[in-house]
Amino acid sequence: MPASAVCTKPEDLVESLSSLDTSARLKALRDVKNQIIGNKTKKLSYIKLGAVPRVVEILASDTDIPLLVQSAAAVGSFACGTDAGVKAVLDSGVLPHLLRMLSNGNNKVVEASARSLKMIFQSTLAPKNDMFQGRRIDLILALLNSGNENVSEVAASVLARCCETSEHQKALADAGCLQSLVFLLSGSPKRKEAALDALAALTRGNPDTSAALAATGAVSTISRTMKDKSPRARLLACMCLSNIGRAYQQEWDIRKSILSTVGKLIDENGQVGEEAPGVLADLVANNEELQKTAYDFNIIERLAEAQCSIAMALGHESEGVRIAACACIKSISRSVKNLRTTLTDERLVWPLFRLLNDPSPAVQASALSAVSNVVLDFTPHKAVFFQCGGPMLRLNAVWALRNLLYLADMSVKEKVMRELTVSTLVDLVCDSEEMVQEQALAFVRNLVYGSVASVQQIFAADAAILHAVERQLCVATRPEICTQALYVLSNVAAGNEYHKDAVMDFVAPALTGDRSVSILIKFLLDMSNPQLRVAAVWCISNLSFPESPGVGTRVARLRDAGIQLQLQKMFDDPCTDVKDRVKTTMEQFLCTDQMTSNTGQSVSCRLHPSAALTLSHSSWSSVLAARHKLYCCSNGAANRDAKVKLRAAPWSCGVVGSTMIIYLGGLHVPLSYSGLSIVSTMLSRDCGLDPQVKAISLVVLQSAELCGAVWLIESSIRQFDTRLTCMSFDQMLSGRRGCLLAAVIALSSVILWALAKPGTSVYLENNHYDPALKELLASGGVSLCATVAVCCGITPLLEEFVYRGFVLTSLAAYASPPWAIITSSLIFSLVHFKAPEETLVLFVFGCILGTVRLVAAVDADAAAVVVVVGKAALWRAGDTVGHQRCVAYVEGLGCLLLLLLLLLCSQLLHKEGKNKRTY
Amino acid sequence: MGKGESSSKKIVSREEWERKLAEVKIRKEDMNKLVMNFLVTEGYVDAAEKFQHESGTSPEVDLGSITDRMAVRKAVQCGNVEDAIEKVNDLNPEILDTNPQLFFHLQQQRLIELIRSGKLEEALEFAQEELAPRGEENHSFLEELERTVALLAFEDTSNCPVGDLLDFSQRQKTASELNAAILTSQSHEKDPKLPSLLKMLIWSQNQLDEKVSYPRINDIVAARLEDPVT
Repeated sequence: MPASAVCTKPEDLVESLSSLDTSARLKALRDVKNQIIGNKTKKLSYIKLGAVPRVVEILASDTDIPLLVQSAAAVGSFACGTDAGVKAVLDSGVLPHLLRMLSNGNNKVVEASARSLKMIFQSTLAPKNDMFQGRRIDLILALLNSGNENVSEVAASVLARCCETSEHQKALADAGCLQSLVFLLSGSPKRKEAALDALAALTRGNPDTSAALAATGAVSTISRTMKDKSPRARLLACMCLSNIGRAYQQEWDIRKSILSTVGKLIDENGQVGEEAPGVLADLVANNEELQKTAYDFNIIERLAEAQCSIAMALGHESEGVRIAACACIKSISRSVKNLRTTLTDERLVWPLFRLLNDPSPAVQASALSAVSNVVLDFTPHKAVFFQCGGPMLRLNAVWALRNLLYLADMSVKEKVMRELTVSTLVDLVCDSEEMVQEQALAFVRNLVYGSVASVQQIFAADAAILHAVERQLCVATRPEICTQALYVLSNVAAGNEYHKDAVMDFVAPALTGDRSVSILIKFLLDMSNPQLRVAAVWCISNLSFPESPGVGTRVARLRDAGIQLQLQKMFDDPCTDVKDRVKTTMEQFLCTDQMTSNTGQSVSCRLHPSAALTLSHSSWSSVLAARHKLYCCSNGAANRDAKVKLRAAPWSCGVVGSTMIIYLGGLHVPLSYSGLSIVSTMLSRDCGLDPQVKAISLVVLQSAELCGAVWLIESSIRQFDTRLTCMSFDQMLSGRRGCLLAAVIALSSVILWALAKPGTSVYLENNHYDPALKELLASGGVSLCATVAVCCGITPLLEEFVYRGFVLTSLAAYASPPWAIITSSLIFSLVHFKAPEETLVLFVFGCILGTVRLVAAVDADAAAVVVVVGKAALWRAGDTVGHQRCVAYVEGLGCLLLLLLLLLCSQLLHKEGKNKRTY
Repeated sequence: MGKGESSSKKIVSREEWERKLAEVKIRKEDMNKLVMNFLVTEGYVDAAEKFQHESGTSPEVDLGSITDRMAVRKAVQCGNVEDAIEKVNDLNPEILDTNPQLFFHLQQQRLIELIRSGKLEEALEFAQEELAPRGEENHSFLEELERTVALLAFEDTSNCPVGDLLDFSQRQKTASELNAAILTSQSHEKDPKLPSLLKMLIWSQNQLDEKVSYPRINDIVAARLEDPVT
């Protein structure tokens, strides 16, 4: 028993490898070889000691047969099992020597060197291209035809490993490799396997070589091999046939038997069982019929059972196996829904996600594509891929993330966005590859789908993503991209007012004067792809969703942009989807016009810090509705920075001017100025009216003026078909208890405050301005009541309606808010011109009220109604008890404070508002 | 096997059965091949040579390789594992390099032999140096390794719970595994065909029992036909 292996130190052994004595060299070589075979740790330690170059030295310079055989075996063993070994062997430049030895006269030397080569080429590190240089490949081909079974087998397996690109395949096929390999099929099982392996490599993904193989008439031999005893041979045969099947249409029977063979092989243990799913994936990929058959064969159940083996394959050290396992998961999860549930088993998913970290980009790409089909909740820390990697990698990565975000909750979205960053996403949306663009848009679509917070994400970094999406929508030509982009807009339009208005700015830009045609029209007219039209109509549908405060303006703008007209034309669209959507949208347009909003939900809110007001939801929405009415036209865009913007009174300045002239000339002057004298003339009283008659006349006159103004303004803007923006106080005054209640509370609190104020009586006595008023107030119950009703109720409503509601809103559409406020206040104060001092006060108040009106409109809430009504009443009460600047200012400030508080309340309430349509 | 239902089964008489058996023609060459396969696989080189000479049946493998294989097997059976490893490596270095389980079992056998010969310190060192890294590579090896090392803990190894490792049968097991691996590397079946044919015979008889009553072969060694049960 040679104990040398145990006794001699490795250092000494390595030293004696270079001994001058041949027998000592041989002995050392044998010892080293025997120690390293099967022992990874020994291999590594000998590599460290520098044994490989010494062994190669022997290989290169010696001629002694046993030395050559032993050294070749040692080299082969070093190259087996560890990448470090392969690297060391290759670095030592052994390849040319081994190839030279293949032509050695001694059979044993040839066999040993062939085996070594096989070992080296089993590694992925092997220089595969080198084999196609010069005459090397001819040498291998010569060995392929060698009479020695071992040599030809080794040659075939080296070929199987070397042949990677289609150039390799072509070169080998041209060299007549196929025929030689087909000949080897009749040999011993091992040689047959090697030959099949090489054939599979030669035909993989190459229709030309596949067809050439089929032409050699080997198909029947290979088909017979599908019944071979060796599972590996069966699998390889299936691979070859599957490759051939890609080149030309095989008979259905053959395909079915391939399928059933592969299906059974999945149960096999070891490598074959691991590789079978890959072959199956290849076989059924892009062939629905075969996928169905696979399902019929119960292959899926087998696969589910074989999950462990797939999971193992995912962790396999060979890159190819990992890729194949990923491809298998992808193919199967795509074709069979039932399996998806089993595939999402933890055992499979985690290894799959681990592969996202794989050093090989090819594995990463295929893992991502598999992940995209089987995504679960996972930490998307792989977003880094986007920055680097080829288009395929980017595509699959976006795809995976897109699916991940499908119906994901907010935390996942936030996590993904934190990793991905806005700028990367923008880059992806504008990627050079159209496929990536489409998936990136789909990603954004999923990102912004859902809650308001989700939508808000697209507005990060100055809405960079939204702008990118809009840019794509303008420039993209592929309908798929446009569809996704439109769905992004549609989802954004399902957000809150701000979000909706951002979309509105894009689809129907509010330009002064010139009104361009909406970009949506382009898509609505696109007859090539119904999907595009569906997406576009969805977008409009979400913009016109009723029960959101700004819907009136939006509908008006959409109408103005010609969208309603286009939608009407689409009532009988060939696509049912489009038709249904158009119908719903048109109903929403109508519904918005009628302003009927009824939901049973009850929402309680604190409107006023001093007076707690609980409103049922129905009255709540009626408050909203009433506010619309009151202010003529609905509210414009809201900006969180309280930057006031109002747009979209669809009528022009000319209409406002003419309406105002008719109002002043036809209603205001006759009723307010000459009303009392007309009454006294009618009653034939020369010396003046009885205070009571006078007060009642005032009520009648003012009511008449109010009704006249409502009718006038409504009829003058009705021609613009925006009834929604018209107002009818009857709604507010009759059924809408909530609003009335609010108004009454505000009024009474103001009156109480005004009356309780010390010095009120002094004012009353010192009132130099309107002694008539003083007289009215002092002359008995009926007259007092009527006067208060006029001054605190009817007149403020009338003035608010005309000046703030109609004039201000109209002006705000054409001028910046400050100018609109100033102009309307100017008109307001000039109409009431009596004394310069009073006009100034009126102007300041007009400004305050106008600001209140616009700011309140920004943050749509009924609280604003109460404030404005209350304010109007307050001011009128001040008017009633006597004009004085100081009082007016104090009241104005108080009003603003109150407003701030209410805005705060409304902010809170707003979050609860569920007025959106999700998609 | 439901013998109680025998009355309902069809009965095949001994004469009829023999007549039917006589009708089945089996080629002499096939029988010879079967015998040769057995001799080659089991490694009876001399018998195979003689049989080849007498019957003219080709052994289909290099008889020299059988000699090598038998030498390896014998080395293991004699407890000379290291020698066996060297021989296998000379035969084909791939066998042990690509078959970690076999390699481990050989190393395990080597450890057992060291323990058997009482070289306990050397055994311990060997276990640490050679076997422990294999156990790290594969968990199932670790269990076997633990079992083997347990031998060191007992003074009277023949009476300990893991004493079976010291049996000759353990050597035989390792030797068979090695033999099979060499056969596979030579593209040869690792088991002779004859035993599987006998297995098939028993299986077919069991299947047939359910349907008919016939002259069964119960004693496989003598291959005697028993009278059918009526």
